[in-house]
This record gives sequence, structure tokens and C-alpha cells, in this order.
Amino acid sequence: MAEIEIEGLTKSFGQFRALDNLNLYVEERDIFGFLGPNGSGKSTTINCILGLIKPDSGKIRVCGIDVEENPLEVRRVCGYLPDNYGFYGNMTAIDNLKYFSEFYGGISRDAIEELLALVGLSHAAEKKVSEFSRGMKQRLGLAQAILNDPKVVFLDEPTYGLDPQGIADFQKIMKDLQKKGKTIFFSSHILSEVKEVCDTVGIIYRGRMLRVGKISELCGSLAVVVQTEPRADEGLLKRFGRVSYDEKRDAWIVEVEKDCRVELSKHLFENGYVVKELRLKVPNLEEFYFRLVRENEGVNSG
Amino acid sequence: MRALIVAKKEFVDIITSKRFMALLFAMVVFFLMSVLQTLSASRISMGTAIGFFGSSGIAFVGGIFGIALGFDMITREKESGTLRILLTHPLFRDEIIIGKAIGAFLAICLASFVTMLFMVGAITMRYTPSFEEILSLAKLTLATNAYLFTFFSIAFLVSAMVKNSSTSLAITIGIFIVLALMIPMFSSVIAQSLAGQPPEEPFDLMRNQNFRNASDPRWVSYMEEMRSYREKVQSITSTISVFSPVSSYTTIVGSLTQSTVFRTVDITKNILSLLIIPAVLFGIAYFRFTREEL
Repeated sequence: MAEIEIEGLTKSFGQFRALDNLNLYVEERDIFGFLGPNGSGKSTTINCILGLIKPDSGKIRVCGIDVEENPLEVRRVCGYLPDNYGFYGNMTAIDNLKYFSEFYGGISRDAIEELLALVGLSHAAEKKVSEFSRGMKQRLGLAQAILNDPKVVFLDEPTYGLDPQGIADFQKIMKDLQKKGKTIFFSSHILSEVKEVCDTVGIIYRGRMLRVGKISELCGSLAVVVQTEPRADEGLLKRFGRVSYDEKRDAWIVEVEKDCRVELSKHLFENGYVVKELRLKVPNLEEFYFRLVRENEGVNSG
Repeated sequence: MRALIVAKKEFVDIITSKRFMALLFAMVVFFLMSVLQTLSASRISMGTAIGFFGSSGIAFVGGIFGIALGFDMITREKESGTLRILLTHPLFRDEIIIGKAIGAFLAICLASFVTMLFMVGAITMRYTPSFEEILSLAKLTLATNAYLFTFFSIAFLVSAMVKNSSTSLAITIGIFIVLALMIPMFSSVIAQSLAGQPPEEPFDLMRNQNFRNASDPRWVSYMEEMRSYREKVQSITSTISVFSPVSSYTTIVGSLTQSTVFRTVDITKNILSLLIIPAVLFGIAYFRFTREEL
């Protein structure tokens, strides 16, 4: 069942078309990576989904709730960590969360303390937010995004400014949330991170959704590049997976399900071939992303 | 209900801020000075004391008080990004702006009430104020509330219209100068120019050494024209002054003295001015803020 459904979403700011007939479906319990360069329309999409800005046209439903008809209900079932946000610096972390929790009818102090522990801020619960580092504010931002135990969590560039430990913690929390049945909508332009945590990605560019799918489907599967002397017989390699020949490299590409280079090399050796190259080729989101963006740069400017 | 959550937070934020404390202290000092100054001289009514000595000074400090509360009320939230995070929760924009206005209004009421308590305290140290004097103080408190909220509304509107606090402060100070200084200063000049030329004096009659008869028809006619000219100027002046909260406030506060020193003044227009101006300004701020996109 689709937790987020977007159909024909269009939004312009003056002459600038920020979103252009965007369609998107995100499945329940998915960690969806929303990829795109700066200014491509990622934040505008999220703001439309949460009813924070009004689209020019299109339909959006979150957990089956129509955003235009009932934006508050949508915000009740969603959590959002926006980019460029801030907290009340004169208040402590716990007081900030208590204030936001009042809009959901109040949440117990124990529950708030648990949340702070989850994001690693127990030690700073009573500290004024003005004394927080950027990383601590990011963690507090995540805590406020999951304060209402939402079904869908939107994270807009959540790891920006975090140290490696912070990034790892964030990724772990995202995966834990998914295990608890949450759907995560993770907007980023950091490809390595998206690849690390997301099941599905959507690539947006200049307000248009270029491609949506599983990373493996979009970027191709795992492959082994094989170069031998003399050139190996295709039939020998077929037992490992689908085989194609790359003339440019003068090598076989074997699409495999797992890394089987040891078995492959043994098999080739036993059949009298000398292995010149045996390299694992992992699906490359970066390559796919840049190729797609490059292709569409031409389309849009032309 | 959600607006009240915002109002509660705003109220606490305002009254615990150093800015509020400093301005409240200044207001209390100004009010006390005007009361004590009068009481040390002679025992006259407290209303007279305020109306006679205090109004312009208080009007100035009070105006600054209102501006200081409102000029960054929305811009601060925009600049710090707290508005962005607040709006991600189930809350409408109108609930935010209404909550902020309620919080500020309550803080203004508290400031006026505290000031009044100090004044009553200062007076009771010398004598027991009469019921009439307490009533005058209550009227003064109400007028001060409306006055402070008027300047708050001006600053609040500017804060809803611009993007940063420094621009908001600069614009609000400009408006304050126009309303507090320019309009009261130039209202009679503008009124005279709008009323046209005053009636010409009957010079030939006045130069005549034998002129003694004030019932001369030409003189009577001149005096009549002059009276209606003055009334016209006065009417235009008071109409212009209605747009200056300072003038309205000082007129209302001055009217508290009417039973003892001055003639009766009609303050209906001034009262309406201090009610309508903030309502209209808040209405515009509301309209602007609720239609703004993130």
C-alpha cells in the first residue's frame, strides 16, 4: 500500500516552475531516498506534502489523507525535520520538545526523556538550546520530528553538519524507525548516504521526477569484469550469471548475485585460462545519477 | 485552543525577557515621577497629576515599550528558523499570529497593572486615595493598555511584512517619529493650510480712532467668521491628531483632569482611534502572515 501518493503535482513561484507535473508513490515501511541537486524541488515537494505550501495543481495523499482537505491531520501522522530550522534558544531541549508536544495534546516528561536518549541527548536535556552545537541541534531536530510517534517521517538533509559518528547514529535510527513500521522519506544530495540506508530512490531534477525505483533496478546488479588470456569461452561464464561482452575493455561482464570471484577464477584456471583482470563492479548510484542529470540538462536547456 | 498554547509561551517569553524588565522599569519610573512630583507640591487629584505632568513622557516611553515588544515578534521566528519548525506541527498560521498577539496583549496588561500598583502604593504612603482617584487610575490603565497595544500593532505589522528584525526596527522607528513627533508638531500647520486663509481683519475700522463699538455689524461679522475659522482649524487638527496615537493618548489622559482644571473635552474620536487603529493594523498583519508561504 502506498503511504505517500502524489499525482500531477505542479508548483510555480512567479515565473519559476519549481515542480512540474510530479508523480510519486512511496510504499509503507520504505526508506525512500529523494535525490536531487540543490534547487531541484526536493524541499518544495516535502512542503507541499505537508500542506505548508499550496500547490498550483495536483493531488497528494499521505496515509490515505488528502493534504488539501485536511493538512493538520496529515501533520498529525507525519514528522518533519526541515532544513534551515531553529529552536528556541532561551529554552532547554526538554522545554522545546514539551512546547511542540502540546500541539498533540501533551506528551509525558518520561516519553520526552526517552526520545532525547534515543537521539543521544540525555546529557543535554536541561541545557539551553542556544548552547547547542550544530550536531546537537540536528539530533534535537530528529527528536522533534518523531515526537508524535508519526507514521511517516520526512528528513530534509538530516545529516548536514554532522560528524561521522553522528551520521552513523542517524542512519541507525532511520533503520530502527523502519523496523518499527515507519516510512522514511529521506531527502538528500549525498549519494553515498542514500545508498547506505535507502531501499528505493527517486531522482528529481528541475522539478521533474526523472526516475523512481529500487537502487539495484536503477543502477544495475552486481557484476564481475573478467579478462583472460586467451579470451574465455562465453559458455564457461554463463553458469555464474548473465554474460555480456564489453568490446571497449575487451572483457566479459558477468552479472552475479553475490561476489563469486574465487569460484570464477578457480573455474577459469581449471579450464586453462590465465586471468588478467577479475574485478567486482558494484551498482553505482553516483554514475547513474550523474548520467541521468547530464542527459536531462540537455533536454531542459534545449 | 492551539493559539492559547502559543499565547502562553509568548507571554512567558516576553515577561521573562531583559527587554521587558528594562522597559517596565522605565515605565514605572516615569509614572511614579509624575505622581510624586505633583504630590510633593500640593494635594491635588491623582488623575490631574497624571494628566498634567505625566502624559507626554509616559506616551514617549509607552510608545517605545509597544514597539520593543512587537518589532521582531515575527521576524525573529523567521530569522532563527523556529517558524519553520513550528509550522511542521499541527498548527495553522492564524493560530500562531493570534497566539502571539494575545501573549503580547497580556504582557502589556501586566505592565500597565504593575505600573498602576506602584502608583497606588506611592500615593497610599501619603494618603488614602479616593474612589474617584482609583477610578481615574483604572481609566488611565485602560488607555495605557490601548496605547501600548497600538504601538505594538504597528511594530507587529511591520514585523509581519519584512524579512529581518533590523529592517523592521528601522521602519518602526520611522513610523514612531512620524506619529509621535511629526503629526502632533505639524497638525495645526497642516490644518491651517487646509482651512484656507483666515477672514480678513477690518483694518480700516480698527485704525479708526473713534472705533469703540464692538457691536459694529462689520466687527461682529468678522468675529463670527473668525470663530468659525478657528473651529474649522480645530476640527481639522483634531481629525489629523486622531491618526497619531500619541495625540489620542495625551488627549484621553488629559481629559482625566477635566473635573478639576480644564473644560470638558470630547474624547470619543480618540478612544475610537486607539481601538480601531490597532484592530486594523492587526487585521492587515493577520492577512499578510496567513497568506505568506514558507
